[in-house]
Amino acid sequence: METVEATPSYESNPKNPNPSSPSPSPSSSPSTSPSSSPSPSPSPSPSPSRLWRPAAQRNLRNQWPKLLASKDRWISAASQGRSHATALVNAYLSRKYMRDMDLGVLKDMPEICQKACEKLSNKQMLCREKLLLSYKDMVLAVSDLIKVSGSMRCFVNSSTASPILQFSDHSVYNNDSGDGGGVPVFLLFSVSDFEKLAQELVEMFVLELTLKRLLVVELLSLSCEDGADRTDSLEWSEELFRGEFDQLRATELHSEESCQLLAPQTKDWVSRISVTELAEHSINREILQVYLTTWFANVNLNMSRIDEIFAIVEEEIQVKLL
Amino acid sequence: MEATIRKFQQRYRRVRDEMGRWDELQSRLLSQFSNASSIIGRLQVLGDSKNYGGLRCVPAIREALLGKQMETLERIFCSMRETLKEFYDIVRSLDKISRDSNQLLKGGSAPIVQQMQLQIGIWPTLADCMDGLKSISEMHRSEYALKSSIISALSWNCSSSDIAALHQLLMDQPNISKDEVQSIFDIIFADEVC
Repeated sequence: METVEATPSYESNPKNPNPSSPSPSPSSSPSTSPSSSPSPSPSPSPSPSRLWRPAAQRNLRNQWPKLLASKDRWISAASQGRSHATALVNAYLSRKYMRDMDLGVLKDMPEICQKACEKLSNKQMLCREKLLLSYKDMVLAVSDLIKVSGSMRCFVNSSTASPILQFSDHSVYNNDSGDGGGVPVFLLFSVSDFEKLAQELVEMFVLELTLKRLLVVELLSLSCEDGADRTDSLEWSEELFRGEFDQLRATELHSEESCQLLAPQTKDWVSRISVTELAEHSINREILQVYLTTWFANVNLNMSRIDEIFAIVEEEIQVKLL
Repeated sequence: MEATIRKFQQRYRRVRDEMGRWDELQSRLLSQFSNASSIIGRLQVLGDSKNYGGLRCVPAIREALLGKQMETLERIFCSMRETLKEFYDIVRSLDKISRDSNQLLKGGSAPIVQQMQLQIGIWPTLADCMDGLKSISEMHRSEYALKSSIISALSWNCSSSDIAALHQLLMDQPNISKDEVQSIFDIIFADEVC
């Protein structure tokens, strides 16, 4: 019998699970990323940090014109001071050399010399007062300059529901540095860049103020009487006008602990010597000429750099400083 | 003839304007010069540290002050050179007026000598017109040369007597004779004077 050999017919099972069947590619499945950027939710109160930039811009646009005004005030006070100082020196010298002057026909007039000396003496006194006023104006201008340069930051009051921004030199919240985290306020400069420029101005004017103070002390010491070269009434450590040291403390020219004034110095040459009392010296025409030259040379002010700073800022904040 | 002379007179009015500008520049240059010379005169006093009196306690004050003064001096020198350039513009302009005046004559046929010398009434001759422009232009050209050599002679180490002499020379303008210029104008504008 014919056995039909059953061919081992295996039915190919298409459904045979093939072990090597391609598994679904793992990469094809997109990882479900959480939507990181929340859609701009119409929150009732905008976040304080978003308010920061316009507020900071407004603040800087307010502060820089003030710096410019203080600088201008200083410059004009210094130039007035210069003319008072010159008049003072001229009165002093004319009186000093009165005795050697050839008065020509006038010499027969009774007490002509004495009267002229009195007049010159009065003039000198008047110039002293005016010079002192100019100096005072310069001190006030520098202290304004410092005040403003410390008000560049803008702090966010984040605790309350309505964010109120405050501009000051310190934050009531410790975690707010007031510079918006160092981001550019306008185009390039961060708050601290603006502060650096302001600081550069402040340093120049403070140094120059110390020098001017020394000159004022020297010029006010010129005696109004005959005989002595200088009166011994004025010392470096004396207050030149009421409240001077309070103002100078704000400018850090007068330190509270040591009760000493910052010594006059020139830029690039910081002295460690403290001037507690002025060295004794005589006064002559040449010395006075050097004093006056020092006054108007503004040794510590780099005028082109000052103009440059204001020009840089003007361009950055895109507001004409007036 | 009359028309030509009228044209010359117009040229002379331009010359007068240029000379007015020259005078403005002159007073500017003089004030720049005296600013520079007062700084130069001070340098010696400023260089001597025994003249610093109470300022001696300030370190490096002498160097700072001298540096500052030299800076200012350098700036004044620069502006004097600028002023000189403007003087030169005037020289060139006067020169041009004088050269161009030849064309006034060449408009028709070239005048012969008799025409050049011909004088009608109080009118100036054509030769007067030509020569006047030429000599005014030459005066200013040589004065410009003098001024630029004076300015380049001025330096920070000039003595005070040198400076005084230079200042005098600058002020006198020896190459420009006021009288001569005036008489040229008197001849050219004789009809207006009467």
